[in-house]
Amino acid sequence: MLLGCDIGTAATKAVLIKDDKLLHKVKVATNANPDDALQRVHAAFASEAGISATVIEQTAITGWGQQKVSAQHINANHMNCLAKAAVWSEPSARSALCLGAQQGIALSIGKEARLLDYRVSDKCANGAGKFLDVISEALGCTVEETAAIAELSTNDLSMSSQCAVFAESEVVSLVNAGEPVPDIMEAIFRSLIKNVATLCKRVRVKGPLVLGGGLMNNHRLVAILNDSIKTETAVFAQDPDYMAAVGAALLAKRGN
Amino acid sequence: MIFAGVDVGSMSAEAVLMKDDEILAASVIVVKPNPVESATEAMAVALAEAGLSLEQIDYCVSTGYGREKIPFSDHNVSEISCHGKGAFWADPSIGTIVDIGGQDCKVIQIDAEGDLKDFIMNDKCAAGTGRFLEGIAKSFNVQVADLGQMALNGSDPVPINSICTIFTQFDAMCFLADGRSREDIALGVAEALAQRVNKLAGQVGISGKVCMSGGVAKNQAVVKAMEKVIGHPIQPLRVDSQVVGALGAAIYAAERYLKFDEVIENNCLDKAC
Repeated sequence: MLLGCDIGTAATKAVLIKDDKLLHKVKVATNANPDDALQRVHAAFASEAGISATVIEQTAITGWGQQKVSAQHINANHMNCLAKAAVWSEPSARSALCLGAQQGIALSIGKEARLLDYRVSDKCANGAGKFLDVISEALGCTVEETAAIAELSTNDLSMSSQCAVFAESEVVSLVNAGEPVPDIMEAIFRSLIKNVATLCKRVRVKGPLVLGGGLMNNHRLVAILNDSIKTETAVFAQDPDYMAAVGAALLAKRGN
Repeated sequence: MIFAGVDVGSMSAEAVLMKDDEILAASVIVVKPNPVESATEAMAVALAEAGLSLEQIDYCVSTGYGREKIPFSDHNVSEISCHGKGAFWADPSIGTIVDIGGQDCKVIQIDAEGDLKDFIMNDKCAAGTGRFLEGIAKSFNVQVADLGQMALNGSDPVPINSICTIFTQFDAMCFLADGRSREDIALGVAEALAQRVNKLAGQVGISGKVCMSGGVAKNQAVVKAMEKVIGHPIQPLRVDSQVVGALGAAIYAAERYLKFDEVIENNCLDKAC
C-alpha cells in the first residue's frame, strides 16, 4: 500500500493506493504545520478505515509543505505528480490544469505521462482558490455555495477589478448598488477564469485537459472554463482536490 | 467663515473643519457600507468636536470614494490633489507625498503652490497598501495600529516574497509556525511594503522634500523602511497623516469660496465701468 500526500498551503490531501486503485482518501487543514498535518492524516486513516501506518510501504509527499516534513518519506516532484495523475484519470490526457489555494499550474503532457512543459501562476490571487475565499466571505456565503448562486445569474455584469482586494470592495459596492448577488458571482467567476485561460494559453493546452484542484469541484467554474478555452476537458476522477496526492502515490510505487 | 473637507477612503473616512486657515476639528472614523453614510458620520463627529452644526459650514469639498455623491458637499476634488494640498499646507517645503491608504498607494508630486504636478498610483493590484498590514494584524490578532511598535522591536526581518497581499497573510502564518517572532515578521512586512511602494515611486521620481500621508504613515517602521529604500528623509507633518486628504479638501473649499468672492467682485466692478 502506498501513501501519496499533497501538503498544500490551505489543505493537506492524502490517498492510499494499492495496485493503482484508490482505496481511501482524507483531507485535513494544513494550518501551516506539515508535520502535524501528516500525523492527522495517519490518525484519520486509522480511525476512518482502520489502516495503520505500519502497512504503508512507501510515503511520497508533494506540495508546499514537502520540504518541511521530518518523517520518513520521498519527495515527489509536483509537476510530475500532476502529469502522472492526469494520465491515471484519463489515459489519453495531453495536458493538465491544477488550481490550488495560492497557485494555478498548467502543464502539457507527452507520451507515457511525460512532462513536456508547465507554467505556474502564483503572483496574483485571482485565478487561485484564495480569490473565491475572499469574495465568498464578502458576500457572506461559503465557497461550496458559490456555484449554485452563480447559476441563478440572468444578467451579464462586468467587474473592473482583477485584484482580490479591489474585487472585494467592488463586490460590496455592487451589492449596495442593488445588483443581484448571482450576477456578481458569475462576474467573479468570469474574472477568475479569464486569468486561468491565460495560464492555459501559455502552455498551449490540448485536449483532453484534466482539471484538478479544489476549485474544479465547482461545476459552474468548469462550465465557464469550457466555454472559454474550447478544449476537451475532463475533471479528475474521484475528486479533483486529490489530483496531486494520487500522483504522489503513483510515483511512490516507482520509487521515484 | 467655516470651511470643511471630507475624505472617504476604503477603510476610514475623515473630516476636517477650518476657520481662518486653522484647523478647528478633525475626525477619523471606520467606514460604513456606503460613502454617503461614511461622509455624514465623519462630518458629524468633526462638527460635534467643534461645537458647530452642518448649516454653519460656508463651503464643503468632498474627496475620495463617492465624492460626487456626498449631499452636503458643494464641490468635489480628486483625492490626489487633496493630499498634495493638505501636505503643502502643513509644510510648504514638501515636493513629494507618498500616500498609503487602506487599499491604495500613490506617489504625488506638487509644485510651488501645492498644486498637482505629477502622480502615480496602484490601480491594478493592492500590493504595498494598508491591506498588507491589515492581513498581518488579523493573523496576529492585534490592532493594525500596534504593528508599527511591534516592528520597531524586531531585529531580523523575515523575507516576504509573495507579491499578492492576500498571500502575505499565509507567509506570516508560516513564519509563526517556524518559530519566528511576531516582531521580526512585522518588520519584514513593513520593509516589503516599503519596497513595493518604492517601485511605484521609481516610476514618477522624487522631487523636493518628501512626506507621507494616509493611515499607514502612522506605522513608524514603515516610515523608517521608506526612508531607507527611497534614500530621502521623510518629513514629519504637523497634522495627523490620516486627515491630510480631508485637510486638502477643506483648503480647496476655502480657495474656491474666496475665488467666487473675487469673481463677483470683479463682475460688479466691470458693470460699474
